[in-house]
Amino acid sequence: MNTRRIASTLLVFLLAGGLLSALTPEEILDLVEENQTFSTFRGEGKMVITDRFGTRTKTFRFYAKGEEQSLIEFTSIDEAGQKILRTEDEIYLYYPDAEELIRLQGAALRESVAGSDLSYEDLTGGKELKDKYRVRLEGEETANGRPCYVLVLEAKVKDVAYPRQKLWVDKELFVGWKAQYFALSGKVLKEVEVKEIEEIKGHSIPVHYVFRDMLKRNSSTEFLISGIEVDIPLDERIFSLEELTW
Amino acid sequence: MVTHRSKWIILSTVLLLGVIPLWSEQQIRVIMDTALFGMRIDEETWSLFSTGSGELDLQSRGNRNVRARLSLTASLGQEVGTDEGTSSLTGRETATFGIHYAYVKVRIPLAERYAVRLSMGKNALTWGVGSLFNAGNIAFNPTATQGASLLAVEGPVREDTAWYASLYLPLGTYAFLEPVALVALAPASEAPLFPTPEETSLGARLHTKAGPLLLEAAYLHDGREARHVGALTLQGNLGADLYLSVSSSLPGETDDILSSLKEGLIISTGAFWLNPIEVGEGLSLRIEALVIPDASWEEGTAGDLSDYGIHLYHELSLAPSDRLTLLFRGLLSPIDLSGVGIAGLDWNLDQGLHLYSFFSLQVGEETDLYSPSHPGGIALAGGVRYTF
Repeated sequence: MNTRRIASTLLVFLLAGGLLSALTPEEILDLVEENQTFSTFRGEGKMVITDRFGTRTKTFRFYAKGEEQSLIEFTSIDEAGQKILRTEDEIYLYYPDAEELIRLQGAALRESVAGSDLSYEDLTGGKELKDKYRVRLEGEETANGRPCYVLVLEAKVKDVAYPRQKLWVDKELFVGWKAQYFALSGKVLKEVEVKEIEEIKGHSIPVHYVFRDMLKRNSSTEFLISGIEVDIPLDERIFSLEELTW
Repeated sequence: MVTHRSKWIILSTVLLLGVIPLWSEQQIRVIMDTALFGMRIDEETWSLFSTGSGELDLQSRGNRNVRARLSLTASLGQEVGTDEGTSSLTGRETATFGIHYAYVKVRIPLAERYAVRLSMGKNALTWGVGSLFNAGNIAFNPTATQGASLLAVEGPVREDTAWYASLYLPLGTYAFLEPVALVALAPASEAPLFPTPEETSLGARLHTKAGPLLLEAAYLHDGREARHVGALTLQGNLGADLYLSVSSSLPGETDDILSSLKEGLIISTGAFWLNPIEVGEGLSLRIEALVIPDASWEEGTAGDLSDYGIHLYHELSLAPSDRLTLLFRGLLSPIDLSGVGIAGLDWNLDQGLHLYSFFSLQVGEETDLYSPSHPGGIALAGGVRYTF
């Protein structure tokens, strides 16, 4: 982690020196992942789900440690107390009304979270994109008024939610401003657009973004994240069944 | 069901909650549900009636080491009387008050990084794995479907609650031991006036992981029935989430352990798929089976599930949009070839607001487990549920 951080910091320094053209697509992806990799993460979120009937709001608390451990606790009145614990290869759901633990594996990771346009994988999936995707640089475009690299990711393995992804990466901040997720047929399944980012401890973190499920007309999920803390001490017990069923 | 005196206790509690200062963060939630039912009573009679229920759910939040919940329920219905030996609604309104949850959970630190949890009061208790059939859930009768809500759209269909005290002893990240004492609320016989200590049920479950498998072993000494009950549950994934629970019981005194175990044997198994076919998101399929080897495997006259050796359950849920959920649930009794099918629709029209309807049809002969000639053999309903 430290070696990678030093290397990437050095790389960013060199980039500022005008060596941008030297970056390979893999290196760009590394810098993106470096920017969104934290030892720990804590925050509160609000999901505003909009469709032709109106909007519904869901609020939650979110904890993450490393790339595979995360815990989401819903605080909105409809789902109050429901929690989702994500581990390396499984998801535990907890329903307080039944004091019931439900363990899901495999395809469950692709299921929609609380009726939103997000899957559990979108929320909590591992960030090692290079392990699962081949990456190439398609060109440069502007997204949200910022100059961006356009990366195309093609899946190398079968167990991914999206066989193809397209990312618009800020050339200076190495944060994604836009992403499109494709089906095998080439059809766009989902699109995410970042509206606002926040600088926290040297990381550019999206705090306001909009997901759109392209298969559903007039449907979007707006994400607003606040109270973000990164790289802070987090008790390991937060990611345990004890905390989940508390 | 609570007594008349308890109603005043509940009302007083509500009034007190309105005037006392609140020292910790809390969440107050109200759930209102009102529905119109149409039901076939017998060959010549149909009934159309309405029901209403409300729940005031108070939960403490904000304290890392203490959680409490009090959930008061009230339902409005109609009094059932008997007319020439036949049950019928009298038309008089009845109000039933109850307490669904009343518990306190406390984390007790035993070391710097180790705490046990004590839970006391009335709460749900779900052991084992299974939606409707769950032989591992030995604290409740796993062969009964009473208490199951086959119209539940999200989450479990069972929310059985009981008065109990339990400890939760973490054994690492994904394992725990949970000893429990289930209190008998009423004596098993007319005398003595109060339940005896022997009528308390004591047990524990050990929940852990072994590689990709979830394992749960449970034991309960059923004080009321004076028997020992044990269960083992396995869950894993092989394309689908697969689960199996086996339980059996032994009388307190028996000369033939093997025969007793065979008599008490209950097996439940199931499979759960998410999006088994590509129709977009929101499709799930669950199938479950309940096997009671010592029950009858020949068609006869059945009163409930425990009379026959095998039962099947399926649940197909389809959400063509974020707001709309279609449910198709069914119970089948393969021995007498009868069954019940339920088609339901839930429309989440606005924040916290659900419009729902369902149609239920039993198929079979009069002496079968399911039959359209049974009261409620054909039923339909439409209702509104609002949480605020």
